[in-house]
Amino acid sequence: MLVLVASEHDLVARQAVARWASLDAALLSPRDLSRPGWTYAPDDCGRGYAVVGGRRVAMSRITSVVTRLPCVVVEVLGHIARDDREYAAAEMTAFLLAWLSDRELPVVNRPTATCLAGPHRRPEQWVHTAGQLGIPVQRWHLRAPRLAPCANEPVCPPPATFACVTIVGACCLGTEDAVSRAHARRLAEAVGAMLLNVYFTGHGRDALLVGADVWPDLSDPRIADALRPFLTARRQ
Amino acid sequence: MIVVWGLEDDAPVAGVLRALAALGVPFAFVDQREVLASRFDVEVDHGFHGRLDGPTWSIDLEAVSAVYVRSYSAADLAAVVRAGSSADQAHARAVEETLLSWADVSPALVVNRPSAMASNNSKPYQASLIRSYGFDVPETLVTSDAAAVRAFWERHGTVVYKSMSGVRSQVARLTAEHFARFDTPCACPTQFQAYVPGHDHRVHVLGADVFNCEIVSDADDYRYGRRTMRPYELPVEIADRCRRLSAGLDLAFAGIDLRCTPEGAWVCFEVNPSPGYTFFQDACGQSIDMALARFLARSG
Repeated sequence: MLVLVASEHDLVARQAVARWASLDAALLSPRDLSRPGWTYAPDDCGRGYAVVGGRRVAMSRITSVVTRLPCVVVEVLGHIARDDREYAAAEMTAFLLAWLSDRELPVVNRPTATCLAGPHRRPEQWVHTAGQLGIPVQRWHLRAPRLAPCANEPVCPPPATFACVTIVGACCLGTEDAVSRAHARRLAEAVGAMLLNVYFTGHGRDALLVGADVWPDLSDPRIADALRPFLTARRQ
Repeated sequence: MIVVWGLEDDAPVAGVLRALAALGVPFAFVDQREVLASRFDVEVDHGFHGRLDGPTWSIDLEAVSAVYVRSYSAADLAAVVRAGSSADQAHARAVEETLLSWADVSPALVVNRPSAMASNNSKPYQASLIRSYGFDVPETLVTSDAAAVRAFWERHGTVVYKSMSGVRSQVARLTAEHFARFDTPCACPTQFQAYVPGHDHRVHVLGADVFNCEIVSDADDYRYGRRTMRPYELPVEIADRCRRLSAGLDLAFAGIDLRCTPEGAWVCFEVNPSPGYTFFQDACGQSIDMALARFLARSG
C-alpha cells in the first residue's frame, strides 16, 4: 500500500491517490489519527498498525509513504472538541514526526523536526542556503518599519515571474538549461530532499535562484510518473 | 556583541542578564515586550545583512558574536494580545520570524538554534535520537488501541502516560480505571511508557561544562510532588555521553533528564533545548547563569 499523508481537503493529494490507484494508494488524513486502532512501538515499528482512510492497516502492508503535510493544524480538527484541538494538533504532529521518521518506513520526503514533509526553510533561508552553496541568488529584502501597519511583508519578486525546476529523485523537470538543473540538484542534495521545487528568476544560465519549497505538484503527470519508479522500487 | 532575546521576568533570562552585567561585557537585550516598538531592515543572500532596532538597542546583525534565545511566541505576548489589531500581530510575527530565521543560520554562537530545538516537540522522535547516542530510553507504546495498552500494561506491571509534543503535561500512572475511557472516542493516539524506578537527575550541559542535580521524589512527576534536590557528580562516562548527546543534537546548552535505576542503569527521558536552569541551580547552589554568561562572552 502507498500512503499519502495529507489533509483530506488537499485536492492534489486526492488526484495523486487516484493516479496511483494501481499502487493501492490511500490518503491518511489527521482524521485517521482520531480513529481507534493505531499501534506504534518505536522499538518494533514493523509489527504495528496504522489507520489509513478509516481502515486499520498492518504496518507490514505499507510499502511507501508520501507526505504533503507540514504539520497538523487546528483548522482541520473540526471533529475534535474545540478546547482539545490545539493540544491534539501538537500531539498529532509529534506522533507523525516519530512515525514518519521510523527507519522501517520508506518516506518521501523524509520528515525533519521542523516539517513533516521534509527540509522546511523560510523563503529567505532557501536563498541563504543556496548562497552558501555558491549558487547565484536574488537578494531578499526583509523590512518591518516601526509600527507601520501593512508594510512589514517580505519584499520579493511576484511568483508569476518565477521559473520552477522540480527535482524528483534523480529526475529534473521544468528546464533544459544545464546550469539551472545543476543548481537545483545541488540544493536538493544539500538539504536532503527527494522532492523539491526550486525557483529561478527565469530560464537560462543567468537566472538567479529566488526560493524553493517541498511541495511539487503531484497532480502533474510528469511529476507523478517520475516518482512512480521510486515508489514501486520500494514496493518490491 | 552579545544578544539576549526573551522576556525580562523570565528567570533564566533574568539570570543571564544579571551575570552579563556582573561580568561587565557589552550586550543588547531584545526585550520581547518591546516587539511592537522594534523594526528591522535586512537583506539576505549568502548571509543576513542589516539592522534590528528597538527603543533601547540597535543591533548590526553581522556584528553579533553570540545570542541567547529564550523567546516566547509573538502571538502570546501580552503587548501583542493587548494591542489586538491584525497589523500589530503581523508586525510582531514579522519581527519574530526574521529573528528566528537569522538565529538559525547566523555564524554567531547561538544558544540554541531554533531548528535544533525542534526535536523536543516530539518526544518519541527525540527518543530515537537519544538512543543513537548510547542512552537507554523507556520502552514506549503510542496507541489508540485498548487491547494494545492492556497487553503493554500486563507486560510491564507499571506504566505511565504523558504527552508526546512540547505541550507540558504531568506524567501520570496508568490505572485500571483508565480503561473505561478507551470506550469513548479518542482525539489522537496516546504515549505510554514502562515505568522506570530510580532517582531523577537533571544534567545541564553547556559546551564542555556539566552541572548535575539529583532529585529524589516519590511522585511520578517530581515537578508536581515533594522532592529533595542536591548537586551530584555524574560518573565520567555518563557525563561524556551527555556531552556527546548535546553536541549531537546541535545544542550548545541542554537540560537532559536522566533517571538512575536501583541497578545503576542510566535511562534518558528527554533533552530540553531551552532549559529553565534557575530552578535547579537555586536548589543546588550552582552558577549556571554565570557559566552561560561566560560561555556567551568567550565567543566574542
